[in-house]
Amino acid sequence: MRNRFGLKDLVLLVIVVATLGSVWMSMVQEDRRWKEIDAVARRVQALEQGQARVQSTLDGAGFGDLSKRLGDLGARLSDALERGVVAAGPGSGTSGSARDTSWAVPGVTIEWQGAYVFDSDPAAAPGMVRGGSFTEAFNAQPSTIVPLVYKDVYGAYVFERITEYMAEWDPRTLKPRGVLASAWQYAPDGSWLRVRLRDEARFSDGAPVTADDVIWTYQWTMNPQVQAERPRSLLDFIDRIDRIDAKTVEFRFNKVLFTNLSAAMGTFPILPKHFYEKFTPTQYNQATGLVMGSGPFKLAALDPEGQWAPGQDVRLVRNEMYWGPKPVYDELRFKVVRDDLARATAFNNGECDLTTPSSAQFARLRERADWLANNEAHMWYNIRGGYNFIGWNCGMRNARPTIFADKRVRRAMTMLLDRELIRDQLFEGLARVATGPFNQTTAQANPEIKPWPYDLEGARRLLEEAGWTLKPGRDVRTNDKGEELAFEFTYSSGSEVTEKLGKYLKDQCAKIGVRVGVRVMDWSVFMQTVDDRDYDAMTMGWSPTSPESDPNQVWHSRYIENQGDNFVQWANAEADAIIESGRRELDAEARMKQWHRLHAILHDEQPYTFLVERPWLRLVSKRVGNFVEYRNGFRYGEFFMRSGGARPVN
Amino acid sequence: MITYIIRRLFLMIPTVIGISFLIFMLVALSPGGVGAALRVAGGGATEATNRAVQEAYLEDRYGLDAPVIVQYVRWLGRISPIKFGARGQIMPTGERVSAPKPLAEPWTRAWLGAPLPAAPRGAEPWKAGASAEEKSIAYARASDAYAQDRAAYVAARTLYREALGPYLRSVGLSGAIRGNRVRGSMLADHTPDRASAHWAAIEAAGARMLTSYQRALASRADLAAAFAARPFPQAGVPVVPGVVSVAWPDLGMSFARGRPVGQLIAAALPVTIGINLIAFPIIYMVAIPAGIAAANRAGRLFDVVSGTFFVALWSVPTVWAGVLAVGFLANKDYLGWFPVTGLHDAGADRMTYLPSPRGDGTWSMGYLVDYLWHVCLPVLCLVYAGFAVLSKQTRAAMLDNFNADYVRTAKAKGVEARVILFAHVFRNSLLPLITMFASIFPAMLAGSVVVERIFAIPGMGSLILEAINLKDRELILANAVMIALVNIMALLLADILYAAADPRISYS
Repeated sequence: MRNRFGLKDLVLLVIVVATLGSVWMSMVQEDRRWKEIDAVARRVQALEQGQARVQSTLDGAGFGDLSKRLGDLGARLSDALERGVVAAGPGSGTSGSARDTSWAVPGVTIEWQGAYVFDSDPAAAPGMVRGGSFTEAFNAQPSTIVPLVYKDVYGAYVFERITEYMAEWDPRTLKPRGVLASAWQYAPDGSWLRVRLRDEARFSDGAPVTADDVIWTYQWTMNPQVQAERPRSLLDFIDRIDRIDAKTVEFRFNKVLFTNLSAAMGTFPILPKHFYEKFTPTQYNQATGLVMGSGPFKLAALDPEGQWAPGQDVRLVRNEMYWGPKPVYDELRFKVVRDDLARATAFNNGECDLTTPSSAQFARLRERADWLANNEAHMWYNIRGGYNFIGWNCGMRNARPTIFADKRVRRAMTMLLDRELIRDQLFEGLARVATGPFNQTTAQANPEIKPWPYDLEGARRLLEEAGWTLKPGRDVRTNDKGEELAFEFTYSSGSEVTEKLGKYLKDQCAKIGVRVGVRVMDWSVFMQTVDDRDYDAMTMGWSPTSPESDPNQVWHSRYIENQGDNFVQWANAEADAIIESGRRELDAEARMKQWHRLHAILHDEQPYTFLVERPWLRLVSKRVGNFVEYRNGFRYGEFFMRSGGARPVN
Repeated sequence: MITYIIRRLFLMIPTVIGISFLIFMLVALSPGGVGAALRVAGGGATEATNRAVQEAYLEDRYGLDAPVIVQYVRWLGRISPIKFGARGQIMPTGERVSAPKPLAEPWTRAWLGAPLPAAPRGAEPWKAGASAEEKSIAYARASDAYAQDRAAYVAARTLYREALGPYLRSVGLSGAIRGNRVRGSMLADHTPDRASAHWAAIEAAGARMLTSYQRALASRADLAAAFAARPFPQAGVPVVPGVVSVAWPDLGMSFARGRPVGQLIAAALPVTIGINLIAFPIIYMVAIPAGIAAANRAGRLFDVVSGTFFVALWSVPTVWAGVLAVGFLANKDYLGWFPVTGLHDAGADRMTYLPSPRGDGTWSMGYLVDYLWHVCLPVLCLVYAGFAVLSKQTRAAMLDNFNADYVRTAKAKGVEARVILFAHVFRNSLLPLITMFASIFPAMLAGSVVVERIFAIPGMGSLILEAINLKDRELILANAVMIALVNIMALLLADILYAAADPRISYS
């Protein structure tokens, strides 16, 4: 049987060709439409820029201020005419430029905030170029970039470019400074805080930032239907927020803590009420890219119907209406490359301008001269770098005290571990030995405290003192009851560093007659075990979020109960007293003295063996200009891009 | 044939229920439990009591405080297309609402005296003749109020549990509190010691709990009344009005991401299918001709070389191959022919679909070519290991038929070698290939974890892996059920194809 080309085949062929042809034509048609849209978008952008230029010229000329002054003058003139006398202006006659204090509570100091400007002005940097695009590669995929309901630090990195808080940490002094707030009054007894918003602050659609936006954002955060558990739990110190006038709010606190000032103004970013009001809590919770604010950048496409979704690059463009110091480059991009090697390769290929490397990569790359010709390796300590530790369970496990209930045993363990070796071998030398829970970059750490020395002999002596002796012919120490000096080291799987640490700890302990069992578990199981206090020793890390961390939840004995964060079950009456009085102390200097004392107690007691403090590591391409290391990270808005920034080969 | 297919389809139901039950139990009983994701997501610096309240609140929201079996039945009810009881309603925003959740009873109520008043009746939600918008606003307000009051009650209940703690420890009943629950059955026979030093705290917390309980009951009644008044159009199609209806399955919410599971899968699935639609035809188009050629020249040079080569490829681990591909083919220090990661160029969203000239005389790649160029390396990693199995299968099946009598007869008749090869031998060798297809097809949806991670592709593999890591129950279950369904369907399809390929097989 031979296949012959018949009528049926002809019809089929015609249909197939026609389909392909029409698909092709519809593609071409779609492309034409697309080009049209692109042209329109470009025109809109140009218009926006033009409008922003006009706006800033007006701002620069101070017309807004001028008309107010004219109004003042008119009022005074008519006043004078009525009375028939020439009234001199009150005081030195410069009342027109004096600050408006009508919003303030009389008799309480007003903390005026300076103009919100660059800490390092890109315009002053040599070789500054306007325009271009900056790209950062993240290590993990943020599941949402929506403020309040975000799940991870990467989500926060994105929305913090778009939205702004009332105050932030000054990168030089590490004190709160106003962003959206132009001034505030803090009650001498710490029970209330009155905040004045900047007159010029605007959202990216041009609407002013008002007291109603602040109050709405607070209420939205506290709405149980909004999945904002994290910020909500941090705001329990606020009793209520009152509206004083259109630009002023007053916080009422239900407890007096040193953290109140910074937490009230820095826990939730101010969201535009008029934009978010349209959405139900469910829509907000499920949103992935619904971000609008008053910050220097805005989403390139803010479309509730076609939001950014995980898996795509996040594309931000400069907010042309920005009221503060405007970035000089046009576009900010975030992409995600999870694999370490692929990320480093993408960086080398110029597909991104900034990324976080692994310690090993960082150590290797900064040795390579050819690499350094085009790139920079930045390593610096800042307030967000955390510390790693080994926690010794000082309390009961299964109704019996662990061997670490004795502080001599804990200290022996610390002296047993060569933390400098750990730093060099496990962290590639890219860390520094920690002295206690407080970040050594900040004033909170006691500068007099030096880490315990690495001293095997001393460790042996301490164990002998504690009654653990090595009987002849045995390789494990015992006490007089015949119990062996043995413990279990628990850690969560997945990190090479902790694995090596476990092996090292085991080796060192074997040297002085301590038996160590190792227990590895999944992170969630690990957390459960720690919460149940069902372990002897464990390792983990803490990362602070502010320059002055509150030691309460980790070190106060109250948090031993109810699965609190004092999971090492360390109870010390003096420390409890210091923590309680320190938290209520509003005077910074007096408080630091208390923290220094607490630091000394912790050093003496060693409930943790403080291992290392970690710096931030960043690879930055030389295409990025004006990258400055600050004590609280770096400022995206200050960069400028030489030669347009990262561009994939094309 | 038709009856056979219908019978097979009905048999799927118990299979899927069995699979989902097994996975549900595995997740629920695994150490760390379902709450793992909530714990990780909740984290951060919160005070301990706060955290307990927060955990109780999350457990309440996701219904994790009920016994595991109850949770499973609820899940089945959601996923089943056949619904019982009152139908859900669809809000104008497209959100589906169902009747308000019942409130859990306060713990050890008998200890606190003060009997509760009878369950309140809900207030009339709106006046007759209210407009749709007024109804919608009133419903939203009632729903907000209930959420507020319910959260307050859950918090008060948690604080009451914490107040009970010291007392129960002092009377040796500390086992009565397990996690976030108080086990009432253990306390039924216990007469509380009102003289205890802890009693004042218990009484105060208990009073607060009862007040918030009453308030929550009242606002629940209001919401129930508003729901019963049907402010929105109803979901689904009724079968027996008020009792049974048919509606779309609801896959639930991902704990870790706070988004509907359906949306997450809808975002990841096209990515995986898109890549596999390129990869699988390549595997088939290379492996089957190679298998045929090898069988045709069995024992000769081509057979040996292709066999060895494919098996060698098959032995290379994907992790290694991926890293090599990135390190050499994508790294500009070496070849740098391909982009490292992602599926699109940074500027792809502003590209035209087809290649087109730019103003300055250069050519823009266009979306389509850009995509193909980006998937080169991932597809390479997906295909190279697939050649061996398929080509060997083809070769073996062909050789079996080459030695059959009918081939010898055809040869004796003087039929052309090409016709023997394709019309006789190949056709009869299709059966094993169909079997292979049934096992490979589900893999198209599952995605490859390794490849997706190395090349930063947001597909099904990474979605499933992350769900498992975070014990995100709804997401794991939805994926498992989906893959199970596809597997069963592929097996069914294979059976149907057998019948089509081999006239000797029939299912009547």
